[in-house]
Amino acid sequence: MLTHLHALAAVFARNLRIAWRRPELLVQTMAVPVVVLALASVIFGANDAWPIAVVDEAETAHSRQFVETVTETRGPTGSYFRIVETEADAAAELLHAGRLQLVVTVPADFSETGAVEIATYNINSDAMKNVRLRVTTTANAFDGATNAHQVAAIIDRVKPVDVPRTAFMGGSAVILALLLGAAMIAANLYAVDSEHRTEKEIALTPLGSYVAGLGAAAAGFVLAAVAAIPTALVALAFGTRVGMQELLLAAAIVLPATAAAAGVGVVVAAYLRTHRMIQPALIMAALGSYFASGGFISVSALPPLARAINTWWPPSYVFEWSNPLLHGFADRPGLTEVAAVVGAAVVAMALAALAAQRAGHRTINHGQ
Amino acid sequence: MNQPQVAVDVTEVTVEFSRGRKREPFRALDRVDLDVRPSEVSCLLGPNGSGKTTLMNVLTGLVTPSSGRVRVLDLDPATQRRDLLRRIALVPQETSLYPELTARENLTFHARYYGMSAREQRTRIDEALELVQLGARADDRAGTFSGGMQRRLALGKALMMRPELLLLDEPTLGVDVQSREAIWNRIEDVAREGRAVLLTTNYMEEAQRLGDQITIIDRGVNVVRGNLNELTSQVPEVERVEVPLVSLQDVFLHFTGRGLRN
Amino acid sequence: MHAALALAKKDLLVSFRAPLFVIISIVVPVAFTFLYAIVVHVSTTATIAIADEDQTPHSADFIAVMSQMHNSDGDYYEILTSDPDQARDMYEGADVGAMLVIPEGFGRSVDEGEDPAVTLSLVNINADGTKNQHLRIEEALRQFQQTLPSTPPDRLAILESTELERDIPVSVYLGSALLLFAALYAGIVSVGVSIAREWEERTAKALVLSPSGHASLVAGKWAAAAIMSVVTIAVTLAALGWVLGYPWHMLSWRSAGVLAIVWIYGAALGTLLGVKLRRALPLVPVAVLIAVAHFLVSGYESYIRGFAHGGGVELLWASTHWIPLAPLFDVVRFEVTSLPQPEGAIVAALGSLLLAAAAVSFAVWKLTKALRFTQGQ
Repeated sequence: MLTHLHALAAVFARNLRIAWRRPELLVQTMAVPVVVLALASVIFGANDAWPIAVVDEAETAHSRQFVETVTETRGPTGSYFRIVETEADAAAELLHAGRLQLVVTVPADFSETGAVEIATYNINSDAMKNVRLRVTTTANAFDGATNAHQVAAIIDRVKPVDVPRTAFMGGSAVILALLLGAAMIAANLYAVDSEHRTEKEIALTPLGSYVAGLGAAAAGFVLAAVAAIPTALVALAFGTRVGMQELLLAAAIVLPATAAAAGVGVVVAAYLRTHRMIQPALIMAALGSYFASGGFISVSALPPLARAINTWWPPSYVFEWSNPLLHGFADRPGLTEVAAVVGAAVVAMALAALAAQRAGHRTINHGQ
Repeated sequence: MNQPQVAVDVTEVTVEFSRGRKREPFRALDRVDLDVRPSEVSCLLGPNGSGKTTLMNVLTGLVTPSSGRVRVLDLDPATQRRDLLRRIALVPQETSLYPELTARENLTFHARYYGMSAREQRTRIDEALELVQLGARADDRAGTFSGGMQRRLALGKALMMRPELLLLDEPTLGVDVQSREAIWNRIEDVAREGRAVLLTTNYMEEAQRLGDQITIIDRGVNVVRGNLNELTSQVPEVERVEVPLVSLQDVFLHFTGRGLRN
Repeated sequence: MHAALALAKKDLLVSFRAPLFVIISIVVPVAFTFLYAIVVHVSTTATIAIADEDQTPHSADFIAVMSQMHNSDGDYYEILTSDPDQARDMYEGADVGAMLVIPEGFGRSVDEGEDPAVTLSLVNINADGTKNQHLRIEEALRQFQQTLPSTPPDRLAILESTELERDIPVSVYLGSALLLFAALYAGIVSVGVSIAREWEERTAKALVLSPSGHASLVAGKWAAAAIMSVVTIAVTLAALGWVLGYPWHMLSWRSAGVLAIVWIYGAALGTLLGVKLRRALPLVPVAVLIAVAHFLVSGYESYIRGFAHGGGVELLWASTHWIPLAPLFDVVRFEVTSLPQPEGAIVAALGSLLLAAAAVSFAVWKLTKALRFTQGQ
């Protein structure tokens, strides 16, 4: 037993040394979630207060009240509009060029007609849905001010302040960085032997090739924490804030999941063998999971097909179980949930050992 | 094309690289001289890292020297590379074979990629396979070949091009005695046909058997040049190793035979 | 030419004999496209559970208004239940992040001209979801209010004119971006890895030493990769058609040309990466990042253009002036939606080809000038 542990420690130490000497192994795993998080945060986090033009051609008290309502239209997350232009010609030019998506004009006869004109750069139906619904919100607020008898909605939120979209994405991106980091580092370290033609030496150990699999998985698990640091810093920069207690609670789900990811990485590497095949498969599966399995938006809010697929896709459970803990929407992880991820970690490690053992047999049988 | 008097003429060639994280300058070759004549096999010897492969790369235009003069078949490898490449062939240390392709497919690809006409391909591929005694395994994938067979196939690729100058970088590295014997025979045939051969090797018996001229370099510098007799005459008798009349190789071949094992 | 064909044939034969890499090259971008495509409608349709505690015709009308709200992309709501107990169970069990309670007495208040209120409970773990629910309930309230006889006629009227003849459906907008992403990814990865593979398997020297020249090497690699990329693009298109109902039959020669240009741009970057990095280990993540970054930035350019007023988003948008790919995405969208073509497409096409030519020239120059092989190679 002790001999096996020594062998495992030797493989683990060798892997750490390889990772230290070949920093690209870590850097590339860091780069993927960092770049995706930074781009997604800038692109999707930019549309809280929509930049628009409002042109008041009436310039009456009534029209000014409307413009005021536009400025003050708010949702639970803040202002819906930001007026960046008020001059008609400039606004028309910006709209034509797509530099603005909405120009609201209060015509000179507004007091008589009670109608405002909106012009949209309708580049896609999703953006336009947003624009039109925001205008509806303004209209409700404007009518509400003049007619008290309105059906109203009381918004009741679990927490007094929403988790900003970029903060949610940031938290998920750190989880992504840990899972992808563990899987990819473990896989790449395992594949170093097949790429460098040293797998026969590894396979011929009297202790069994499983040691190589577990050693790579262990190194992947440990180094994932290092690989996730830049993503955590970017997440912090984009507003993700998590308390120590929340962090520890989420760790009960995320850490075993990271170990499971490391095991899966080794299994993938044992079958795909080369970096050129392992990497696209792992990176794109991870990115797809981030966008479609609860990293970007909770699974419960996804379309039916996505929800159905996520029932069978393990990473979605990691996001769904850890995000509420991370953002303080759950007091503690469920026992079943912890048992499930720990079980997944054990199974994944066992599969990693088995896959490495079988790969070792293949190497010996086929020669090199 | 008139055959030049000297196939390779290297005079005082220096190659400098920068290496390491600090990009420190490193002199891989330092005023090296070398000449190779047609109908001769020239051997380039030297310990690992002595600059043998760098010199080969200079001759094929893969590395441009920092100073010195290089003429290969009367051409300058740095500026007339494409013309030169039509007339020489290199067998690199790595066999450069595609394991998924059969021996014939490897040769066919090489022939086409190197611009051989379809008419020539038909005869030359079969001829090359026979020359390196792989005719029977022509349609097997190179990935299933032993190390020796892969070396022979790599040599076949080069011979198929009928080069005026054949460059061989450690041609018998890691092959069995039978394959080595076959490779040596082919190399000698090439020289007998009037073409020039330059090979690098770490095996003294290889140089002893094949080398009409031997050049030894160490740490990028010429150590000694000449034929075997000239070289041995330079070693004081007291330091000479006694060579038995019958070598171990003869004994091995006697007991295991000269037949190839594919 | 013969040399390039020989190399392409060799690459295809090698791929046929060891097809795993080809399969992965096709499956991976298609899988990403598929996963992204299934969530394209995430902000079209919001899931909600309704606890109708009123159970009157008015509450039923309110629910009917909600269930009928839609735009060209689909329904605004997916109402999972209107049963009060079930709705509460789902909300408390985190099966749904939004619950609307129509309280008992809602209908009576409406009839009596009072100010009835519904309660929208939200798990506000993501502000985007909160905003989506809030905007929808505002629309539902307005539409419901319009149906009430007590509503005064002088409510605000909104008259809309649009810059484009019709909205580009989000499925077309993102579907087109995903299609071009697949072309770009296929170009970068298949060419880049194919070149790097020659170094990794130590067969590069024989290729570099051919008198056929480096152009043959690049042309051969491109030819084989193009054939595999066509399969990737076709499968992606089929996936988009299935998941998003992407109207692929609307694509014509113009879109085919855009796909070709984007692929060439990708292949040129792949050539440069392959020649420079020579190993798949760093090449693949770099290639993925380039493809994903182009998808997110150039693919969304015409959308983020309207937001780019200050902050990081303006800087990001400004970067699209240096990478002329963005208008090409719109060319495909506008064609599929039968809209007049956007401005700047020709410049974008020429600019992309120019960048591609520069990248390939640099790669060929690197091949000629920096033929470094490791010791012994």
